[in-house]
Amino acid sequence: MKQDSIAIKVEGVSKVYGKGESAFLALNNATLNILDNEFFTLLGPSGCGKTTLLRIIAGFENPTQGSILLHGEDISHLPPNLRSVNTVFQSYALFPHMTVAENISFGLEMLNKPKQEIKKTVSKMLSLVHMEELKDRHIDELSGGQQQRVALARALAPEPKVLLLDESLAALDYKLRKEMQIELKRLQHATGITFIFVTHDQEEALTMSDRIAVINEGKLLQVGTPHEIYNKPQDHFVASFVGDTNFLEISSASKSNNNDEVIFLNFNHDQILKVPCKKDMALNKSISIAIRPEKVSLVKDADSALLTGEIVDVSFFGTDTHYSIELDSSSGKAQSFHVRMQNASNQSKQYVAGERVGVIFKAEDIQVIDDSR
Amino acid sequence: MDQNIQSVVEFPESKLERLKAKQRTIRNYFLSAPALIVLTIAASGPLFIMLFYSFLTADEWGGVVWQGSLQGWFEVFMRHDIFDGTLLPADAHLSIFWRSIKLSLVTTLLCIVFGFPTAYFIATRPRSQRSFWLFLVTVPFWTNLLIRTFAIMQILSHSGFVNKFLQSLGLIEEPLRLLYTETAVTIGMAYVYLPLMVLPLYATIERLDFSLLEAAYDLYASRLQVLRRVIIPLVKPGLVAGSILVFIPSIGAYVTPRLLGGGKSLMLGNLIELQFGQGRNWPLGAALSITLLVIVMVAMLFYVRSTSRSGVNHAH
Repeated sequence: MKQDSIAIKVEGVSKVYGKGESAFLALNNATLNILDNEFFTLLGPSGCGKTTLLRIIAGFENPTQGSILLHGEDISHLPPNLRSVNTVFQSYALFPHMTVAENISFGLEMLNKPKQEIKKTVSKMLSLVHMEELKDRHIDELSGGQQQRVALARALAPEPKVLLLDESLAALDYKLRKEMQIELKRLQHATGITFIFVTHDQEEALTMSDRIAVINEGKLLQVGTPHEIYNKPQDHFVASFVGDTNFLEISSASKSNNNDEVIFLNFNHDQILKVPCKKDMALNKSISIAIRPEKVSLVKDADSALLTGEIVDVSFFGTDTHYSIELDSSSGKAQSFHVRMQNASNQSKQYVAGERVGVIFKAEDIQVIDDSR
Repeated sequence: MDQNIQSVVEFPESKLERLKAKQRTIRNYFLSAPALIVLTIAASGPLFIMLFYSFLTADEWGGVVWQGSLQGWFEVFMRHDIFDGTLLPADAHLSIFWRSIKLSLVTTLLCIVFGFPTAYFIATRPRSQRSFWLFLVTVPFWTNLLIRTFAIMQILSHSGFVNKFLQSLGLIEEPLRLLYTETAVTIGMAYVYLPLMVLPLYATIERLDFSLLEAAYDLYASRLQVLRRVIIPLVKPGLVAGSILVFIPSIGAYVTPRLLGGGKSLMLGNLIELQFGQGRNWPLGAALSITLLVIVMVAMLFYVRSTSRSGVNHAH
């Protein structure tokens, strides 16, 4: 299997629920490619349309517009039972009238696989999810984590081309969730099946995914590796939803004349940072920049700082310390700024609340956000 | 008084609790005694009278002679030939038993066939509309059973709606003989007892987790397989409850077979009535009643067994 061949192609898919006045656009013209053998995550707040997209890929909903291609074949109008796509449901949806083994063999039986093969696959799946001992148990005799494993085994048993996971870890407690995150990645590597994972937990998305698609209000905002999503957010929402971010409105900026897509940002004492930007970026209104709190340093010497302000709050978190700073502002509008500094063992300088400090950061850590998008 | 309190206080706490619990139990029994007495007498009293009468001798003009006899029970199953007095099975009774069981089973089946889609339809409506549909199901109960049965007689009669309709379509030339047949009895009973199937079925389908159907559909099951492998096993308790609720009144039905069967399609209820009326054979009537009771109890036993088994399978 080629690493970069496309497993699922989502082409201009829109979904409208209801009609007329009460019509609701759940998904707005989404286009993306999900590659073979990829752990792909749809990330967004609840109600953003990520589950709708998942249900369209599974076949439970028909797209109002656009099409879904599975390995180049248009499956938009195939019913779920004719798609080589299986789902792990949020509620697991395990059959309560069947044992663990019967649940896992259900899909294989429906595919009319020979008895011998079913038996072999079921025992393989049971060992894959470490549930051999519990194969004759009924579903209500299992814990949440065990049910999760059975749901995974059941969906993986027919060897689908794509596995869909709908908020599958949301019902588990923190510790179990951490375990299952590792387990899911292991299963994805072991089976080589494309996983499409839906979550609203940005941390989960960052740690597990090969690539992430961030969705909000039915719109696909950005697709990229966790690194790209975190470090190069293209959108105000992406920057604020994934990790913590400081947003700054910059009123004095100018674009380079020779059109090499650089913006000059002016800071205190006429300090200028050169930041790459998009070609089509307009400067006719104020732009905003995003800086991650951990990319920022504090200095006592206000003269060399890009920004100055006063510390209003200090929180100690063991490995690092969080500072809340109120920036000096010419317009009189108070703006708070968050800084996260690592506590190195040899670090002697600690800042206290009420202290005046300077803020510095590097040009490459600045992300220019085009709010006009 | 003080001494009393003292002695109570000296009790170990657990002992005190037990005493209090015992007092509560006694008080509960005492308070529910009137209801329990009425229920016991009302429920089992007539049954014991019936059982007792089935072992007495029939009086010539109805009623009983106070003399023990097995004649009543004998006549349930056997008869003497009128001419030579040889012992023969009571084939008239046995055919009525058989018809009662057969028509009740067909009625139950018809109620499942029509009741299941109805219940499923209601259970899948938006919550706000369900009570309206349930209300419609119960509307027939507002009218007297006798009137409803007469209405069915009109529909099935020689010049009734069904025959007129089939004739106007040109499917038949002569009116069909629908009324006073076993078919008419079955149709009538299925109509009367349908709500008894719909309501328990609705109650279980409503509680069904519909994501299970999606899961089965997702795992390559066809619609028919989803029905057979997931829906039916999960609504089985409702299906069994509905079947029992339909079967029991069907087997003892009296009005419907009397009116729609026209004296030719007698069922157990009619046979029993005959013995206490024109037949003037109370012991036989009593024995037949007890037989009917035994059939119903066997059906109930089947119900208890099948639900307790499914209860083990997925107790929540």
